[in-house]
Amino acid sequence: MRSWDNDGFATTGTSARAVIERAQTSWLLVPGVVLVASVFLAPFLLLFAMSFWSQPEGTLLVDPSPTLGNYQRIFSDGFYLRGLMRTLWLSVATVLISLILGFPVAYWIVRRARRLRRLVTALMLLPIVCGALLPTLGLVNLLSPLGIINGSLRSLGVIDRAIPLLGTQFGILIGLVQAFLPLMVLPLVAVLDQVPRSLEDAAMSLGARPAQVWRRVVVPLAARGALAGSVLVFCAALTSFVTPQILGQGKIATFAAMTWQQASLVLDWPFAASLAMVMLMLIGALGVSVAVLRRSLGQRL
Amino acid sequence: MTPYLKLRDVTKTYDSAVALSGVGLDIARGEFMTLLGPSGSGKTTLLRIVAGLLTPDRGTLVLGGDDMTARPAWERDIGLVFQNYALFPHMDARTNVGFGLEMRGIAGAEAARRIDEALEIVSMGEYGTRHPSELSGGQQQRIAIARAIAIKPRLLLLDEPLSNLDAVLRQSVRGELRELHSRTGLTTIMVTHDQVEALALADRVALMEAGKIVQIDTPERLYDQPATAFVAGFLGAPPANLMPLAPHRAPGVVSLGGAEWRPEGVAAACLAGLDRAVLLALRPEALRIVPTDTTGAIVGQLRAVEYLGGERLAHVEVVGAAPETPTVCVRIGHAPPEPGQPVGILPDAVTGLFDRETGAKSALPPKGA
Repeated sequence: MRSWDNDGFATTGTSARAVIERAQTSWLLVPGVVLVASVFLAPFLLLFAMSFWSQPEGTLLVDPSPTLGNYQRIFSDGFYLRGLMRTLWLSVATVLISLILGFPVAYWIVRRARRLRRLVTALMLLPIVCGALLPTLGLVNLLSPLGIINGSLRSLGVIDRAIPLLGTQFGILIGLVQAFLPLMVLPLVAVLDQVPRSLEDAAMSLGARPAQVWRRVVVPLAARGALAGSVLVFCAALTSFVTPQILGQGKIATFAAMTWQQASLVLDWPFAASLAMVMLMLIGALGVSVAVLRRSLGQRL
Repeated sequence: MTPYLKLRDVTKTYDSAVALSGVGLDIARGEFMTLLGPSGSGKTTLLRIVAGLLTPDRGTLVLGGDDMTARPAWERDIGLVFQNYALFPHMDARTNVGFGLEMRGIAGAEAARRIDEALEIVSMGEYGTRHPSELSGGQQQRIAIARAIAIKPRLLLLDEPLSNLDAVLRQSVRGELRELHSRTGLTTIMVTHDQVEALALADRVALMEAGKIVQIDTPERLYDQPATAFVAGFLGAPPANLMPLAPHRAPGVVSLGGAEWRPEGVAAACLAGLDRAVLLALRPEALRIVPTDTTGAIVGQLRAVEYLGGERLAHVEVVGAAPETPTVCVRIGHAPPEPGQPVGILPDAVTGLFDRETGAKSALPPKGA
């Protein structure tokens, strides 16, 4: 029997019910856990194991005796090392550009957008919602030698020969920033939302010019968001495939493209698996260093 | 005397709502002024304009002879203590207090000395290494005050400094603010919606209503001689009774919401020659419960009695008055008669007489005119 006190809350049996509810709610996790285990964890473990297998020359048969040969090949062959460095540099550059572009946008959304906020946030999300392909194809029109940028520059007489944008790292960079900027802006918006306006006012009343308010108050307090955004953008850029492939016109091999080539064209699955593992290890190493960095930023925020 | 801070015709409009209209204010050097008013009366807007965090649409602001109107907040040297304290969460207490010094390029031993001094004034010397999250609300506020006074401001602004503290703390911080003021001699403006705070702390109070200052006076004069019906009806807990009176054809009689009242003594002197609808302000503590047949008494019926600890508040309905006539609050010490009983109310003093249309102080023609 449940009895009700004056406020209409169940008094007796509440704790028993809480226990039951807790037991029941944990069942809600089951479908998710099963799904993750079957479509993510299992293939991941398989991939991990496969990266130590080998595929002898001239055959598609796999030799499952464990070897480090694949990894040795990645780290000794200049082609893969250069691809790795190129991908790393593109990812870091994407992070830096996104930070520089994203900070003012996030600040504007939090402090100034007011009624436009929902609209702007929705627009921000658009590149993520519509996937990589559509916006990238749009960029092709923009960046190609006959595209809008080159076309207008030429008709204005600024240039007489098209600036190569498609098929260059610069073009890829534009695409990556375009695709992943929201991943930087959204975490920044989340942390800036937690920074009361009065902190900026207080700093100003104490004699801080706007630039000093930014440097000493806004940026340090948004550091966590910037860190989260940087990790997201870095991982997304590191593993992105469609954008560099289309904007690079196949001329610029990124690590993801190399992996795809090995898996789908060369059909050397063990080697593709080890390439994927290197990418994952990079992300893992990044995760660890970020955790350390967060700790040094202090728990006080 | 030339005022230290001089505001003239300060006007601010948000979108379409007028927040301040033509506010003028003079504050003397070393004065403690409170801006008192209900929420939305424009007092915080005024404070932010003085601090330079808001730009007025119109008007001027002169501080110590310098025109501040166009000067940005960071060049005003005005200390501001925020309602939520606004301490920088990523800096320890010392760094917070030293922030203004850092911005002024003061470093090293000189900065350390001034930080120590400011922390000492708020008795927080031992808490310098704590971060704001490791301090209680009251301690955070002290740090916020230390941070504001460390820059040796030309003016100290306090925005609702007591509203986030619990009742016990509020009492003691009130005393400390008073002491801080007398020790530092800083010209101080405090915004509050709490009249007890305003009256207890200030040398003078500026009472605001709907974007205007309706009266600037010492706490005593504000309470005893309200300039408008709003002031009389705002100050006091409970505030003054505002009795709707109108002339009556019978001589010596006035209409109190339709009921007949034949005032005597001070009330009669004040109401002689009544020629229009007015509001008579009577403080609850200036009223007495008397037998109904007492001369000069308002005849009423006791509706309810609230016990307030040490005293009681009697709510009396005026017999024969129109239903919209407010009940009369009477402060009484002794145990009252039973509710429902007929009682008389006799005023010992009158706080003010106001025009019922405009709320302005009503000057009646002298007796016999």
